[in-house]
Amino acid sequence: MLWLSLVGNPLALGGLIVVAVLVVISALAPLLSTHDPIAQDLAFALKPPSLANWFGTDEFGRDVYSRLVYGARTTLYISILVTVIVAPIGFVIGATAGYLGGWVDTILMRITDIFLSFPSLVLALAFSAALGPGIENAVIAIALTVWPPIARLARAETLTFRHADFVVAAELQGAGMGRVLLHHIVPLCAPSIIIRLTLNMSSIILTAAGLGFLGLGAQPPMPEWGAMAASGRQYLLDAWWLTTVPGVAILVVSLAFNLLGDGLRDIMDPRNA
Amino acid sequence: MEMLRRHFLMTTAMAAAILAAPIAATAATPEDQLVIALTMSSMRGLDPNEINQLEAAEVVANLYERLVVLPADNITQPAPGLAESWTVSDDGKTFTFKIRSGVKFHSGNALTAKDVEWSLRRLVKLGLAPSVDLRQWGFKEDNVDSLIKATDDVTLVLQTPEVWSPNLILFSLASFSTSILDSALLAQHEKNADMGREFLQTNDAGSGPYSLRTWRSNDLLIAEAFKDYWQGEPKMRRVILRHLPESAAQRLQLEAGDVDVATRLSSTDLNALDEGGKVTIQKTPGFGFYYLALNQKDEILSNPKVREAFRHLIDYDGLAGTVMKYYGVKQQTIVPAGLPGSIDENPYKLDIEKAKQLLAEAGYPDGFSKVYYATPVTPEYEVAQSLQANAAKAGIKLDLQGGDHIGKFRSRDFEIFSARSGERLPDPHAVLQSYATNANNADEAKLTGLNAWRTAWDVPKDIQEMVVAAAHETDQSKRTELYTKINTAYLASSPALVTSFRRTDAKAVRKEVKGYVGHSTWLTRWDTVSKDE
Amino acid sequence: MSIAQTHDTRSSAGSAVLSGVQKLAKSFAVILTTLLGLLILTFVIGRMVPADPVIAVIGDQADQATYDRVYEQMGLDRPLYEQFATYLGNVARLDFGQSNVTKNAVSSDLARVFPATLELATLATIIGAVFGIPLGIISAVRKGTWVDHIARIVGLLGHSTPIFWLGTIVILIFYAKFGLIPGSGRIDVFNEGLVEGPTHSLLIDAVIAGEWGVFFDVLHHVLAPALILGYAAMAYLSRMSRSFMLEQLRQEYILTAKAKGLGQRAIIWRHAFRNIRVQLLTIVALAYCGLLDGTVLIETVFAWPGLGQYLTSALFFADMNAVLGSVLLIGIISIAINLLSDIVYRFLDPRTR
Repeated sequence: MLWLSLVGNPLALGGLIVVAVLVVISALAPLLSTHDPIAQDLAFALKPPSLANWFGTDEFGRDVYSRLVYGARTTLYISILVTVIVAPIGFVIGATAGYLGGWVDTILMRITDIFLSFPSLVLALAFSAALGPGIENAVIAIALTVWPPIARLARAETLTFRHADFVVAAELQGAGMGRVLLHHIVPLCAPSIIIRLTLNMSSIILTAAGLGFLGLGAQPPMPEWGAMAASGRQYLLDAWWLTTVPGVAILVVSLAFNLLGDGLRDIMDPRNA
Repeated sequence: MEMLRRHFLMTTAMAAAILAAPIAATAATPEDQLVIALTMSSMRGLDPNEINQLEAAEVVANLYERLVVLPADNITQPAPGLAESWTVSDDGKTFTFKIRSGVKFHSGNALTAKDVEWSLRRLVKLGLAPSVDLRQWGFKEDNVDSLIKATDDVTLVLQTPEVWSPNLILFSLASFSTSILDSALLAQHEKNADMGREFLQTNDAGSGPYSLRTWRSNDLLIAEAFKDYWQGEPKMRRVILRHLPESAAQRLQLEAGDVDVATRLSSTDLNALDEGGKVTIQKTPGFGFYYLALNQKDEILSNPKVREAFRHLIDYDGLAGTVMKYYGVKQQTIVPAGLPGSIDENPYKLDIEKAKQLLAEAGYPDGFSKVYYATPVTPEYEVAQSLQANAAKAGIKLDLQGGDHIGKFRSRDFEIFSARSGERLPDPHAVLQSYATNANNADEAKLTGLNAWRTAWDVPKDIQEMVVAAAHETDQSKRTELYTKINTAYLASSPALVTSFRRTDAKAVRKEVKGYVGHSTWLTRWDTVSKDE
Repeated sequence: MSIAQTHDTRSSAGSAVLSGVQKLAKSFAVILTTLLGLLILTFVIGRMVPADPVIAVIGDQADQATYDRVYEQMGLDRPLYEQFATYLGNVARLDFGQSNVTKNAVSSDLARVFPATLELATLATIIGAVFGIPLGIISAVRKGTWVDHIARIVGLLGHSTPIFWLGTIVILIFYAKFGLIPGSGRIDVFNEGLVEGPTHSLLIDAVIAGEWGVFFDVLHHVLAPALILGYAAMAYLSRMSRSFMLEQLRQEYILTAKAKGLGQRAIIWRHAFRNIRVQLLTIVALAYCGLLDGTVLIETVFAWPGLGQYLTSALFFADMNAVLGSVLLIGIISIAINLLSDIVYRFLDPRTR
């Protein structure tokens, strides 16, 4: 049913295909790459795209195409890890607030608001500067900025179902909060949270790239698209491919997640279609 | 609907019109103004007794003057500045300076020996970063009032607590930190006995060829020619410093003629400018090094064979032709080229096999892993990444972490660290003091100003003794002899501080600009600049 | 660049119970606690920055005595809670301390850099609204047609483009290759200092001073970064206004109006648009907030002397006072804008009135 609807929505299908391709590339990076992504050859630095190096070489003579392929892993790693961290945290905080109400709700939502009142990049920037550069720290910093909207959403959804008959019935049968949330609320909230997370993927990727761009994300020699675009900027006038290629990659993947999320929303939440 | 669409089309058309509007061609800079593109991010205030950094030093060099001048083209020959002449007593401890009369500060106040006395004492008393310029010769808060004295308006007597090679003292008095300040003006602006510190952050109190007009950090600095300058009003009416952190932007604006001088360009941009023909690239040699520090508290790294292995893992020649082409000159010895005792000897080259062999002899045939700190700025980071790649081939896994790690280096809390140093005295002692003396290697000694202590390297005693002796030696030919010996001994000592390149600072100057000459101790002057079209 | 933030649907229930005063007191308390949280968060971030702030001041080669002296001068030897208390007291007096990098009072630095960011963000929001809202409405009205599809792709693209990258490419093409735009900065060096007006917005000040040459120079500088940011804002605004409009068009009164034979233009503008005005205002305010984010990267790319650049350079140089001051300012502005849009929403929206 979902699948059929996706097929009927060419844009969303396109997004899904790109995402699938990204996963395949990440999985098969060693097979798809033509060079060692971290092998340097200073004598062969900043060469334009050619048959040997499809997207040219960087300032260390490393193959940009191979780095791009391996960079897909980094991108996927960051976005999946953030999502895996954020989804349960956001859900638990939001659902607890919505379910219990009262002062718990007030405190949790106040904390959420404090985090929300920062523009997300500024907050991620501040956190990853504080934690120090590195990919794990970047993941934590991004996660810290992504959970509040999820919590808000989970709370709103929980509130909708809080006094529904089946919840009250379960409570009367003696089900505890954990059980009610897990068995009754989670299945109902899941679709909207999944949509939200899919749409978030794009902003996670962009934030990660932005951090990499400012030198706070992945550390060398690990290939990361944002950092590649940033270091290429130094050689912009003589080696356009260094910045352009990873930039396009970020754009395509982030667009794909947006298209997919948008399509999912159309299917699951027809009000917005 | 129709209206909506019309509205939409109209706004689109408007934007297109603005974008396509004919734009005045970029004009060259005016003939009587000099525009310099630079990175201001690390410029902190303009107090000569507080700053410690190249860009700010160049500004201070032109707002203020010093007793002694080191000409850019003859840097080891002290020449008269605000001091017309000087004499050194026979015991080498008393320096008597005759102060030039008729010199005016920007405020209109006359400059006298009292100002000199006050300024030099202020440097020592504030005790901030550059105070080491005088403190290293034994001046302290409690002795400076008796050791530095103006005996009348035109005479300043300076006594050193110990005998030092006179050049060391004279060179120090040519440093930006020993600039002469307008004591009367600063007395007016004193707040909470701060000796005018707050005022000086963003104002000037100098007598130099230029006075400060506007300064907005990370944006713009404008200096104006001082009409009453004692050597005559400079040709350039205004000097404008623009914060342009991007190398590409600097290059484009330099090519377009929007700026006259650019100072923070990447190697590729410098290369392209060099070939473009409109610009001259100046490589100003400095007195610091690109170095690799191996913490000697680490068991593996303290093995001399391992230290030696690292010297074979640096791609000196590959880097020299690419990343370091404009930033440094290959040098594996410790006395900067051109100074007394320097030798032209670079026996090491990239040799993975040799490194592997040394590691095996040291007992680490399978290599090891270490955390490697480096600053993520060009070219330091490129050098670090290159070492990381070569070390990997020899089995050493370096976990490179970019960031500001100087603090950890200072507190010995690191394994491997690399950076570049910026010594400012045109004398071997400056580098050697930091790289080759470590009087007490204990943690508690906290000789945190010395690279050797930071690296926990117990420098061979004979080297340390020679360095100390050379600084106190007044006979120049004996010093040269000593420095030659030190240089050879350092090279043979498998040092924990491995030097790979002598630092040079590259500046790109448009060809019509004459007289802008990069200065090795950061005192590039603007009053000698002229433009001929 | 994530502009979208979830917005609670505000319930009007219970508002009758609370008197106006109570309501005011409550929202005041909410703001205060949020601000306090913000302060704690920024303070923690500031203290966590790994670079040593003392070395940032004294430089690499200073000896230990110098280090200890400055360490004490900066108050770092005192316990953390004491430092926080001092900080809180100072902030209450609008004193954010002194920047280690610029050596100015942080408040005066902020007063200098913030107008530059404000000018950029305002212009970008205007561009975003002027193009985005009509685009969204058109695609809602002509849902499912090619107009709708294109608008949707344009919107999604705006959501997906790395803004720093777009800025770089724009510089490469329009500055480096064609020389159509200035490469960086806010104003040409030689126009520097010609207008120093009351608003610190160079555009407005230039108009007040009648310096048209300066005005066009400034406009020329601001155009590329504002258009790039404006595009991001447009993407968000067009998507949001599309869905608002769609919701309206489904309402019964629209069908009634159609049945009465009212023209389409009248229906859209006189009825539907009027009803979503307030919602639009809210999302424009949110977009404005989100742009504060976008400026961080775009200011780096265009060497724009604004808050974003100030903040990033402060972060890299361990300039804690400057980091705290600017993060706090951004937080306060976000709170203020959210609050303002909240108030507007409450007072103007026909359903909550």
